[in-house]
Amino acid sequence: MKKSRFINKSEEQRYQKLQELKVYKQRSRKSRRFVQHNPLNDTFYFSYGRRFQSALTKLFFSKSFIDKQHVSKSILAPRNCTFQNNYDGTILFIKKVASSMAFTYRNITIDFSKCSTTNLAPMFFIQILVFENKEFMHMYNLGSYTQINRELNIIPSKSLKVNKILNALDLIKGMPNKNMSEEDLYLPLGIKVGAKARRLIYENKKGAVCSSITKFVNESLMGIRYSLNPTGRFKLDNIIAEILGNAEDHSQINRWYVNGVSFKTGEDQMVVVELNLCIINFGYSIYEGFEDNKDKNPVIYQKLNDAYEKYRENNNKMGFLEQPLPIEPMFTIFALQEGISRLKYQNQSRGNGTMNFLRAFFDLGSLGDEFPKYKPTISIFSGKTSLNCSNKYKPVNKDGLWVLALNTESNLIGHQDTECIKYSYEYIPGTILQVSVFLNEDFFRKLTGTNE
Amino acid sequence: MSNDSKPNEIILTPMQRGISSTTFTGRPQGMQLRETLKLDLIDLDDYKYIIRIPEGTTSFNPSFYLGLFFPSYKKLKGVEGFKNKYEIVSQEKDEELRLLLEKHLIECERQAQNEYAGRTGLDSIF
Repeated sequence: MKKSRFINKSEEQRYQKLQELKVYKQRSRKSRRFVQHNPLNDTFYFSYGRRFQSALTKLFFSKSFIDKQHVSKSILAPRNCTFQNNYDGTILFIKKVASSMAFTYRNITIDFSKCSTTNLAPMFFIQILVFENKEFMHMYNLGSYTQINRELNIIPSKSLKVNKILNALDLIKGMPNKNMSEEDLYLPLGIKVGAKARRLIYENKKGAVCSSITKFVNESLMGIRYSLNPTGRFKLDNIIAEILGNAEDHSQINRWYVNGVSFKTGEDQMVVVELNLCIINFGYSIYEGFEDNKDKNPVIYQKLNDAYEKYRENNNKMGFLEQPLPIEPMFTIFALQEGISRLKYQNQSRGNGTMNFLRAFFDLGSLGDEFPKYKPTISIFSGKTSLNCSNKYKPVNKDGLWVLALNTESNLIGHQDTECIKYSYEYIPGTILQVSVFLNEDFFRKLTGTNE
Repeated sequence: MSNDSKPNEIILTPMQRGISSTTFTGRPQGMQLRETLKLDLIDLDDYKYIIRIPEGTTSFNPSFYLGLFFPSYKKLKGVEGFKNKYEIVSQEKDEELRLLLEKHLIECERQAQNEYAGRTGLDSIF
């Protein structure tokens, strides 16, 4: 039997206690040393910060939207920072901002000095990143000895309109160009964030957000001395609620985001209010949603696939100069039609929200029918597809069902106007809906016959 | 109560619209309310029902409507069956608003009818 080195049991216990104390001291010294001497670095920031990362950052990471190769201290916004005309460049710019926020704790400079054109959607995307980053920093600082206090320096643009958008979205404080006339005013809605995971019916937040959007539209109309009457207000409530419901249903993370800004501009001796609204949900693109669910949703998927085959056959037969569009943008067009939903297997009664919204939007923006300069636009950016629809093509009723195709014949298998639908290299993990309508006093007087 | 007697009432409450909301919105919320009201059981009985929408309701969203009533459409075999059993009435006193809400309900019905028939916007292709 092995002989013990201790005289008695109490000495052994004392020795064990001393050993524990030693280990404890070592450990505590080690952790102190770690805190004191290991300065915050990007590797530590990223690995430690993962536990506080928002669902959005995790989603971006899983979809390879953010990557270390895009990290930069100073990010230059492209000259044309719009999804409509520079889809790839704008997404790459956003990727750089998102990656720099996720992979480094350092200050970031976003330089808009060369940017001359932008609109609500990309700037709102940046605002969401800033919003999520603020939440992340708060959580990180609560749970860590190493405090981070990243500053975002935004260099304003030389363009008044770009600065107005940046200012309206709280990305810059104050306007660098002070000489603004009364007609250069703008009205922001402010970021609205909705959550899907509501357990009880009275926790439904969409109605309250709808009311604030309607209030925003009403205040925008006051710029041209008009206001929505109760009927108009409630009609708008109905449309917005429908599209928010859609965003909520298709969001992969438990959040959807809404923002808006309206500009009062005066050109051609006519005061016009430009009303912009943007709704973003992250997760699947429209096409991805169908692909991902094709086993669960075989009937609708087959219908879309057959429709695409018919479109391709028809386009090859007609001998158009342009190649038929790839499957993704065509699925996006098909998905807008009534009764088409990627979640049809869960509930048969799905797939009408977007078409309801499109119809209502074209009614509201009918000023563009008279003045081509003020044509309303509705854009859907999803995955690699950018769909920009003006009043050139409107939904038509075919046997009690509303159909929207991007040609004058409203033919879904006919040649689609490639000015309106584009397929790009870069990819958005989710769907962005942007609406822009122009409102004018004369137009409303003609429409209503009154001042309401 | 016999089939011919006075119909039962299902009264929707402002609380069911959500906090500070004047609209009935959202498919999941419609489905949730369906469970609360036990419409699955009600569909099976022989009585008629009047569903009262509370005053101050500004919109009755198609998604909410379909979440709430579409299973009844299926059980009652379409619009006719549904209308024979349920009557949806607005308690709104303002005539203009009531008419607007009725328009919303007609649109909801149109969508429910298309869904019941399994029709989609792509049908024009085939």
